[in-house]
Amino acid sequence: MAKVRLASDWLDGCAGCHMSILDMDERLVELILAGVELSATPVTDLKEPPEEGVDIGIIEGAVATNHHEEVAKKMRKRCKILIAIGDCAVFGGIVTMRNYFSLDELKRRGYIETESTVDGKIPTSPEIGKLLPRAKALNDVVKVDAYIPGCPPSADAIYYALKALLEGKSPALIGELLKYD
Amino acid sequence: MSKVTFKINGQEIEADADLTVLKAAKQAGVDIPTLCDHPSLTPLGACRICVVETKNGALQTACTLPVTPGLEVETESPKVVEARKFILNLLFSERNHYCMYCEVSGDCELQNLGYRYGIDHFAFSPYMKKFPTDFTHKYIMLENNRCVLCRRCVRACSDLGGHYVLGIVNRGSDSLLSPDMESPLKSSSCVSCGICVQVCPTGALADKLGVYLGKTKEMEQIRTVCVNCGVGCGLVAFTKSDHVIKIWGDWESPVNRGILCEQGRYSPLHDKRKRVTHPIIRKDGKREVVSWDEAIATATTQLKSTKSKGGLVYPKVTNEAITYFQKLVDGNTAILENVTPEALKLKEKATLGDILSAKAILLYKVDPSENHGVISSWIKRAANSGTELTIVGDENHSLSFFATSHYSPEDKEKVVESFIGKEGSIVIYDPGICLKSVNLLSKLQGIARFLPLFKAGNSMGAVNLGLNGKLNDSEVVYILASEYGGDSDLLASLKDVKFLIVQANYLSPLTERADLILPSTTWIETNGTITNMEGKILKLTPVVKPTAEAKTDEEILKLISKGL
Amino acid sequence: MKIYRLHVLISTDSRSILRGALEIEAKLKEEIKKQGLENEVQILRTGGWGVEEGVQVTVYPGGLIYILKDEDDIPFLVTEHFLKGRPVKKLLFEIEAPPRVEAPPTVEEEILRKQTRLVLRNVGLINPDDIKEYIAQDGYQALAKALTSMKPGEIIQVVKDAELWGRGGAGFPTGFKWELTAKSPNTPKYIICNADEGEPGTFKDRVIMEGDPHSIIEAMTISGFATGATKGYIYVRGEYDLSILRLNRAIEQAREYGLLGENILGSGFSFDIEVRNGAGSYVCGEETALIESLEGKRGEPRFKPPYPSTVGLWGKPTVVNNVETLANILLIVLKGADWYKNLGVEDSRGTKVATLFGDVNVKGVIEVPFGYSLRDLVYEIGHGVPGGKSLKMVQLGGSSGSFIPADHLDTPIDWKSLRQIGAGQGSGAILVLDETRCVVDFLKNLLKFFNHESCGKCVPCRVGIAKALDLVDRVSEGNIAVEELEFMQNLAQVIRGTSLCGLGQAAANQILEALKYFKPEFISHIETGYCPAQKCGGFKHV
Repeated sequence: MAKVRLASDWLDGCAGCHMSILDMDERLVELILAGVELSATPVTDLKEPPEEGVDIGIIEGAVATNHHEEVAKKMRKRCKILIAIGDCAVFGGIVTMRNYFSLDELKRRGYIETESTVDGKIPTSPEIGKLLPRAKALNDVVKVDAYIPGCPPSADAIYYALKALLEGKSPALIGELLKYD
Repeated sequence: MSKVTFKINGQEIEADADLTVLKAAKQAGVDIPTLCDHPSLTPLGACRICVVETKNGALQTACTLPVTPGLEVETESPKVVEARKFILNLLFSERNHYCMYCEVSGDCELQNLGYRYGIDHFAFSPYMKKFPTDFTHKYIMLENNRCVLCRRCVRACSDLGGHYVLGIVNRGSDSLLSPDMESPLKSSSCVSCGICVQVCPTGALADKLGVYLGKTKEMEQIRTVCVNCGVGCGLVAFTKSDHVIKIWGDWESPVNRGILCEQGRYSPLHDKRKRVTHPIIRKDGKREVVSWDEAIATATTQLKSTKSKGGLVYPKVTNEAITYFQKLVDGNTAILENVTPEALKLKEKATLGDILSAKAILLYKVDPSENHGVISSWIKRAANSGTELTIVGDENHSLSFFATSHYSPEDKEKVVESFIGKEGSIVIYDPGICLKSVNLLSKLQGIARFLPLFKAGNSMGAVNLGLNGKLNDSEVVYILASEYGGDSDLLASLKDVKFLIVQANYLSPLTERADLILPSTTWIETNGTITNMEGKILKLTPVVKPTAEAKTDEEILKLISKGL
Repeated sequence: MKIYRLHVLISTDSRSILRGALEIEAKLKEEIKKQGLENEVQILRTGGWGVEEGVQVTVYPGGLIYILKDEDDIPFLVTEHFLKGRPVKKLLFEIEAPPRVEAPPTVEEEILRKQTRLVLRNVGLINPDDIKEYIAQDGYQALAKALTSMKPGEIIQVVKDAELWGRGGAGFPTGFKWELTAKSPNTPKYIICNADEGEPGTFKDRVIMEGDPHSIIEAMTISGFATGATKGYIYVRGEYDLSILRLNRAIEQAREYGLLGENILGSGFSFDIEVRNGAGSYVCGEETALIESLEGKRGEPRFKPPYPSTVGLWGKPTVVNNVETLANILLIVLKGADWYKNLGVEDSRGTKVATLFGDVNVKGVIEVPFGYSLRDLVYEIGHGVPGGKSLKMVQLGGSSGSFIPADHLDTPIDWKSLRQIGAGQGSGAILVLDETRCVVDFLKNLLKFFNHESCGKCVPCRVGIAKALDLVDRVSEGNIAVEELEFMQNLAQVIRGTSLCGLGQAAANQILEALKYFKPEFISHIETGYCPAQKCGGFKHV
């Protein structure tokens, strides 16, 4: 069976969705035996999808900075099928709560006014991505081919979608697998 | 009712001619999804989720479409499904409908529709415009960002409650749910009946107390009856780990048909009074917690050894308890509510349902808004639909806005005269009125029907069981107090009592005076029956286990009578 | 009675008053007095024809129309024309139109050429505040005829035979509507005159109410007699102060004359009318929203069926007719169905009052028989597009109307022909757009209007229009993929298919028609970022 190369990355997320990927447990092995090759993922600790491209790209987390935008666009360029995984990537998720506040309010609250912070200051290093005015869902930035919502999505849901893709079927979640929370 | 034959999804169906497609489909077992529609509310046709396709390809809302002969509708055709998905996508994108940080996730009707139609992402990115929230109210929180503007709450507030507090302000996508045209809920005319929360399909209106305490699915639902007044409203208690999380009106109760008042919905959840947790005996002026065995033995001895014993009942206890109690004190019993026996002889008796269909209502020296919220709702509704409402009472009567005429008590004779000839009217009165008033009202016998507004849940039952009149002087007095804490008159009358047994829910001046305190269960912990003011016998079911060592009145009385 | 040499008719409709009609009237009087002409020249207040600028002053004999903008011109006008008899050319209403070969007719003839003024017969001619002038023009004749020599059923029959269709936009047969209400067993019954004219660019009803208010009162009374109603309400757009004032005055006068109230003309029939003010909501022009508003509730449409004809105001049978529809009744009752049917074409009888505006030389309120082509309207009555530009499209019927591109311009205005090109005639506003106008920008403005006016009750309209506006906004900024136009079209179709009332459906129609006729313009906006009208995208910031 031909190799199906899979890469994943996370944006503004909590890694919970990747935990759910790992939570597939022995089914991960099953997928690998079925021909899935884990390319660059936070799990394999390779930083970005290979230039020659992958078949399936998975992204967790909302798009909240210009850095995230770049990562999302690069993944889109280098994968054939892009899956948004988890509520943040699919809907914007909990990250979008900040859209109700201005960036100034947000940074002040986060870096200075936190109860545990003493003499805080807002970081200005150029290495840090710049916050976008609003946090967005992945499909507001790039075209997305499949969605696995859930906070986090269950391992069952991820397995179902990947298996369906391998079998050439629609990865759209049905029944109990479709969850928003 | 004449019948109509029409087709749903190709299947021929016969239905009553006055039904809508939605109702006829439901009867036939065809599930058409809805959002703004609610079985207890008049159809609105606003959300458009229930659209069905007719023969000519038009989309019509099933909730408003009447069945007609030859009608053919498809409930899940591709066109219908596409339209529903679009509408759901529009709704999800309108406001803050991110489920993962919402209180009602799991119970939300919008969410369930999303699942049903496979909405796995937002087709439109949400606006994230900030709408106002209102957390000022004691019990209810209003979160406009979660609102789908289905107007269920608006309709429930006006059509079921008769209150007209909630309404919509602004237009189009700026429309906002707002009490009293943009007043904070706290200072609005809201009477805290909570029906708005009960009908809200999303997290826009929620009980403050039950917030984030779990999904309805994970809770146990137990039906019981509220004993806080003589109406006897059916309610559904949602419990989790032996805690009441929220209380809803029972839509199926023939008494209140879903609505409740502040007392029924919120008082059991917000009760801060101190419970009597163990039997207590006063020994040498000191109080001492004792075992049930000792407490029962003491009560038995006292009741056995005395020559004169008597019993008082605060009628929030069950019929079963009263029956035992009467035997225990040899029938020397009285009721702790001001009831004039003659006032109860006024005939014919009215039922609660009569309020809604009465031609005229006379409120005789009672203000139902104080303790009888549901009756107050029905009077408002009746008045809004044209029933003549006459009030005899103080100027600041809470229903005077709804009244056709308002008289001071001095003019009572004039009012009663004016009712002579008004067939189909009902008189709602205080069962403790004076004899003069009883004689006056008796002139309306044969013309009007009568509804005595009892203050406690089982007053009618107690009266039916023969509890009225006065207590003969007794050495040992036993009080079935339930939640009653006594007043100065009662305490004064107990001055010469040698031994006082008080069976009560809460610590109070009355238990302070008692020689023996027996902890009894509250009504939400009790089973048995009560008789409401219209004479219906209603069943109480315990929704939580008894607090600490409390036992039901019936149990305690049984134990005592064993030793007699 | 005095005989005057000159009659000067000054239009005192609300627009004219805003432009200083009352000051001009005072100045005219002052000058006339100065010249000692007060016994020769009579000044009369009338309604206006809805001309675009200045205050219309018509002088008889001759029917010369002056457009006065400046009080300082008045002394000259009075001396030259009123005293010396020499019309002042520079103040005359000018039509910027290509010169004609034939001898130029008078301006009044020029404007009225090709028009058939039936509904507007009294507008601009009589003093609307004087019932006697109305009566002198055969006013209340129809009512007298109806009450004394006709049975209610006969009146309904003659309205049905005349094939009068409602002029509010939906075109429902009026006689049939009346019959439904007349047959309903419930009482009391109500007549509502829908005068909540909120369609942008439409002010034909206002011109009728301000110029000939008695015609509405008379027609409503006839309608009441025919259907068995005892009470009428005129729901007038709140901004129409003058209409409200004149209608109320007319009602008072009619009551004084025994033409309204108890036992009208001794016939035993009683009917009264009350004027109610709208509170500034477009959707209240929709009959059920109007009824809700009349009942004192929030103006949101009800679902139909049941229709107001059987379950209307306070749940009682109610006829809701547009101002113009009612104004037609009088002639039908007076002259009969056969006479009326001679006007117009099959399926569209009578005349249509419309407001012609936009990129057209002569603007204003006009009246033509049905069957008149749009091209003739624009080029004959409107004297063409200014500046020699070519016509891009006509929007027929106001914001809720239809796009008619230049190649459909020969379509006659009647229900059947318009339906063939998928259009409706709407409220009677005719907006002409020339080639320099941007459709994307136009659509954006329309959607902004609908977004603002949506009542917020049903989801497709409340949210859908806002989303559609977003999409169009993105087109104008070039920030959208061409494929998304299809999505926009689907969205519009869902809005049209599922909205509760006509407002959402109309908004969706604008999108669908814009895409139907002008999709290439949308695509070129997206692909090139260029807006020919320089209205969209980067240009708007220049």
